Amino acid sequence: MGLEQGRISATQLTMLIISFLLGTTLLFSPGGVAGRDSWIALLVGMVEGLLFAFIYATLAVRFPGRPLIQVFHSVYGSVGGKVIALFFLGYLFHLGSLVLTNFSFFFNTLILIETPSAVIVFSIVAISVYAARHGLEVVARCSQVLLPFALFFFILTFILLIKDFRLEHFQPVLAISAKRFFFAAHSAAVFPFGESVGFLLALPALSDPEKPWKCLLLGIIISTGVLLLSALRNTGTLGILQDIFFFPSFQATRQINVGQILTRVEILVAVNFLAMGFLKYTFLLYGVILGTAEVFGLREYRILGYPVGILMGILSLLNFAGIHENFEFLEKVYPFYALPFQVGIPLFTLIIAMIRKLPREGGET
Amino acid sequence: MNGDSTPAYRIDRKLILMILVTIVLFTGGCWDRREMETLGIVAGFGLDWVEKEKKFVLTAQVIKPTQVQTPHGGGGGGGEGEEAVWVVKSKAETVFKGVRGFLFESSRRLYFPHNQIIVVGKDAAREGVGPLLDFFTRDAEPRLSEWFLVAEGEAAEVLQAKAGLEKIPALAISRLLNNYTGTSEIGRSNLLGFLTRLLSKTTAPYAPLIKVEGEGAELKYRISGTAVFRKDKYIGELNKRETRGLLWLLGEVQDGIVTMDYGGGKVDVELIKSACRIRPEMKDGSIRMQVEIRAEGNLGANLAPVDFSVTERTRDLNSKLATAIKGEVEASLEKARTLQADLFAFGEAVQRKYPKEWRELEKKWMEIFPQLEVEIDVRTNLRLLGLTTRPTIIKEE
Amino acid sequence: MFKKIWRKAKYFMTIAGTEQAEEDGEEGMSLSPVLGENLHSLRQRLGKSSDIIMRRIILNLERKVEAAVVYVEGLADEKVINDHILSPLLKVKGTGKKDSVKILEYLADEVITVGGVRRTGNIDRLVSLVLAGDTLFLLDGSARALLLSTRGWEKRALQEPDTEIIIKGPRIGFVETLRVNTALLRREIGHPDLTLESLEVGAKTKTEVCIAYLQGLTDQRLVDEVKRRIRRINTDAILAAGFLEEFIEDAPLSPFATVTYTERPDVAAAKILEGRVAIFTDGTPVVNTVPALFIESFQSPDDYTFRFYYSTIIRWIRYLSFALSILSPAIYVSLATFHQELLPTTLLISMAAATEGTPLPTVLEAVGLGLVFELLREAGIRLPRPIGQAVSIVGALVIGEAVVSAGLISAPTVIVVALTAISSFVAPVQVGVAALLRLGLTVIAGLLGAFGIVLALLVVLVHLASLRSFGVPFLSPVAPLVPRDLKDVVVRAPLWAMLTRPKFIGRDPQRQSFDLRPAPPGITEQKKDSREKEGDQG
Repeated sequence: MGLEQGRISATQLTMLIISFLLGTTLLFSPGGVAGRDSWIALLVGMVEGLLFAFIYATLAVRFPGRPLIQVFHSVYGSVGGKVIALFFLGYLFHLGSLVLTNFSFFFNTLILIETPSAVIVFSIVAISVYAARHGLEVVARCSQVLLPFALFFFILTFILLIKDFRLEHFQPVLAISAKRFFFAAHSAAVFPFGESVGFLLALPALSDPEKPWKCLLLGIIISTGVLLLSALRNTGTLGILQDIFFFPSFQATRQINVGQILTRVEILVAVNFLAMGFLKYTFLLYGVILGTAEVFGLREYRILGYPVGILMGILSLLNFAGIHENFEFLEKVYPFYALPFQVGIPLFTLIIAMIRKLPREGGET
Repeated sequence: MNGDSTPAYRIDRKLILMILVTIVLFTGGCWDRREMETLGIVAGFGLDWVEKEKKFVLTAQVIKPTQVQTPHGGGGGGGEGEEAVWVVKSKAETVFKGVRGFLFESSRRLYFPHNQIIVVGKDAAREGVGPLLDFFTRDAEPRLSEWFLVAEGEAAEVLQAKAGLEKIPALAISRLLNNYTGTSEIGRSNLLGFLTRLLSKTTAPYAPLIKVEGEGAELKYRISGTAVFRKDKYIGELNKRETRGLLWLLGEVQDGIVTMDYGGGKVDVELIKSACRIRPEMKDGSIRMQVEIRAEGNLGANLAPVDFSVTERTRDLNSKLATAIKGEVEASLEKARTLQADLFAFGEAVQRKYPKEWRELEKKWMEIFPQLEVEIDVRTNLRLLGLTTRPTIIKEE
Repeated sequence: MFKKIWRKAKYFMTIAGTEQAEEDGEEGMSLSPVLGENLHSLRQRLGKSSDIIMRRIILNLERKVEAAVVYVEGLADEKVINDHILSPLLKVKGTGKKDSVKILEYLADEVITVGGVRRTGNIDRLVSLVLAGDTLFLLDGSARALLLSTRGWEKRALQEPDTEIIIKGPRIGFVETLRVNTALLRREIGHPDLTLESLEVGAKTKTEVCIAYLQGLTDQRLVDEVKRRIRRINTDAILAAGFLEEFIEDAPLSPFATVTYTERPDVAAAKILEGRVAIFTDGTPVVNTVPALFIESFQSPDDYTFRFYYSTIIRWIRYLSFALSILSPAIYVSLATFHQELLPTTLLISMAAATEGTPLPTVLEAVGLGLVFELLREAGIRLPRPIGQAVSIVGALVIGEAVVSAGLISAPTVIVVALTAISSFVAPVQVGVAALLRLGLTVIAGLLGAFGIVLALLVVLVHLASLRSFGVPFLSPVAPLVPRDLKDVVVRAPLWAMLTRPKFIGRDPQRQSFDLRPAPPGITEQKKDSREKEGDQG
């Protein structure tokens, strides 16, 4: 049917979703606008994210095993389907370049200050292309190896910081304005949960086509759990200070000091970010090249790996002039910009499919 | 099977790619690579303000690794005479520029991640430590766990003073602060704590005061009290007793000694642990703070002719201890009132309990704070009496 | 040529004692009834080699019949030839048969006292069997010949393998002779399902290769795939198992071996019992098993004989030491030249003091010393043992000590390289890969620091994740995750709890019954008894 021959199990997909959702969020705290209440904002955002996931899963179950692009075709017709698909892939393409931008800003700020950002971006691109060309199975397997390590490191940093938590940092609860709180919650829903819209491209490769529900919901809930711990850790350790740092997770981990010996372990955050972000970017790259190949009727998608990867890399260097633009975009523009792609296209497709009673029995291929 | 049956031409492409990557990496050089011998590891950093020139004077205590590591057995090396640190100065309008200004004197780039202490001269502290804090939070190298101190005189003097036991004086000061619990009379503050207080709109930051004594090569330092800030500016100081009072209210007292007169002699109680709860009460628009301190201690020294193995006397001593603690707290409160500095985070306590009312109160908190009624309730418990039951010296009646 | 070989191989059953009917219609030259011609053509085939013995004898039957015995000196057991072939033949007085063919049958059935007797008329086939150590018996007037199983050459005695030393468990290793090896395997697995199939590989070496598996337990597709891959090898020489490995691997360009090997019959048996296929190559005391998993490199037979708590710890030490052996120089370089802020202050001071005044950048120190270590190791392996020790003493002590005290290389580098060297011996199977990865990682760490290390590890991970060995993902059971198979990965579960065979290998998942956990007899009854007693009292 589609161009992806490989099949992945529900466990693999769930782990990939978790890695994807933790991709950049372990560093850029979602819902951070809400300050000390970001953990509540995160929970509310999760509910909204689950609603999104509900749409995706319904859509996937309605067209079991059908690649997304074919679904667009049958719903919107040949030309309309292509246009919608290109818009959708454009969003994923942009998202991928944003992930790369995050990489370059983070590493240029804290770890590799003098290394040119192009070197950082393109070395990640090269590896991601190498992985994406191997197909979904390999990406999923990588996430199965990386995710346990990432979670282990994460929980380690959490446990080591428990003694530095101050309960006062969480109080007063919900003292910010409702507007601001719900905006923060919405930001958390859009970044990262809504980004799981990209998995519409991967759901057809699920070996058990009835499972998208389980994978998406479990993926979102587990990653929320991790992000919740991360938010609690940052607020508990840094308190009000977390608002003045670009990377509160990194600063919080810097505070780890157990008996003057177990200290200076913040590199773990960078390693985690690199591993999970690598998976996120690789999956986005994979989705874009798979979708593009399907839109243009290519026989295989591998060939697109390098060109698309390099284009993403170039775009990532042009995205923002500086880190302030990145954060402003993330806080002010992205929550609205992402909506048409995360909610609009899937919901619209689903509604039209329901109205037109698609897919028809034994109908088109 | 694998699906990726690799034709021969693809190998060539991979090879070319690998060669290209290697060339790029090697020709580009190693951007962030810095050998350890190119780094001047800063152990302590000082900031002074020269009013006449409107310039900062920065002082850095740089470690000389080979001098720290005296090779055991080997008679060579610099021997005893060489100092393990090198103190370097720089003068500039801003801190960041001054940090770069070290390079006019230093052959090695100064490296801050291992900085242990930041000392600010009193003049600079009066002027405001904001410029300093900006550098130490914005720059990627410094860490928030550095201790923050205020020098009675110039910060440069502190960094030039010698430590008795350690080769690196800054490291010695940092260890000294780590062991504050022995007296519980040092109001230590690291960058994280200082910043947290600074960012809260009402709470006053504090830092230990350090004083340099002696002459020439025999400079020594000691902690002499606690400096109090309003915003980022130095406004006054607490003495040791007031500092202990502050620590009581922050719940940070651990092993200190409380000395009391009892029955014509002196009695020392060694504290073991303490806890403090601050509860604001609002009635008819006026606020009252309820402070509840619990302390536990052991009898440390008894120079009074009293046998404390009698429960009644111990109970009596307990209430004396409570009074003594209360005295310390009140002294501290009194000083804070005169300085108009909310050292005890009373404001935040109110904010936590009455977030709505707080919006109004916040604006005039500085007027409210000195008038704040504080009710102190101290409960103490003496647990152990040491090894002896009766006093060794019993005065004749 | 190629087809011919494997058709031959198909018919080539060499299990001793099996009599096989002559297959007609075989390609190639046939024998002629004239002995002289036969010997002539044999001489043409076998050349003038001095080790080929062609003994002409005359049988005093009803009439004198010329005959000949052909064998290779050294390969065939001359005692067997003398006692069981020549001496009975020369004693025969009459057969009662006239026809040469009938005489041949009579001799085979009633005179020759050798176990394996085969009849053939095909010259190619008998030549190859003679070269394998069988003895050819030609009778004048018969176009068919007898091939008598007389294989018996000097063998190495069975001894404990040097490479896989264990503390508890069998101390026997494979030898160079294939039949001995298969016999060792039969002794481990007594079940009749154990199937051995022979193939012949190598146009010139004619190496016998034997695959072993458990019928019914092993996936038939796996067996077929192994056979297919072995048959398509068309090369002149398979001198050792390693040659075969390179021809049947899934990922020939990968630094990781996707075929495992062992020198121990018990290990080979254990792998076969999990559903794997073992490949014996004649002439090598090593048996390959497929499919291979990455995790196998970290398993040792001792794991299953020691207490499982200890085995679990040891296994984790092996994982750790593998990680150390590839990562420690790289981490050291990145800490020393990129991330000095991550070192504890006092450690940084000591390290800085040690590097003060050394001329080389840390990367070059680490890479250079690493190469010196590889050099020492190679010298230690290749040299005769006593000299090898001398070399390592000179290398380790003299160079290590002198280089530091001369201030050429810093002491921490020497320590790290030494630690790496030691840890690389703990997981010996992947030594080759480890050396390669170590070098690559150290260089990239010198260029990009920890960032580079993580990137390089990601490349390795993607590569590992993309590998398959005979259809089984190389990283399983970790990726794809098979939770129940982690019982032999994350921990070493007690044997009675290892209920299942690995999921991806073999067909029959259940290994043993569920209630094997030992318990002192009668505990349940005792409990019941005491409860009843209490009940009585109450």
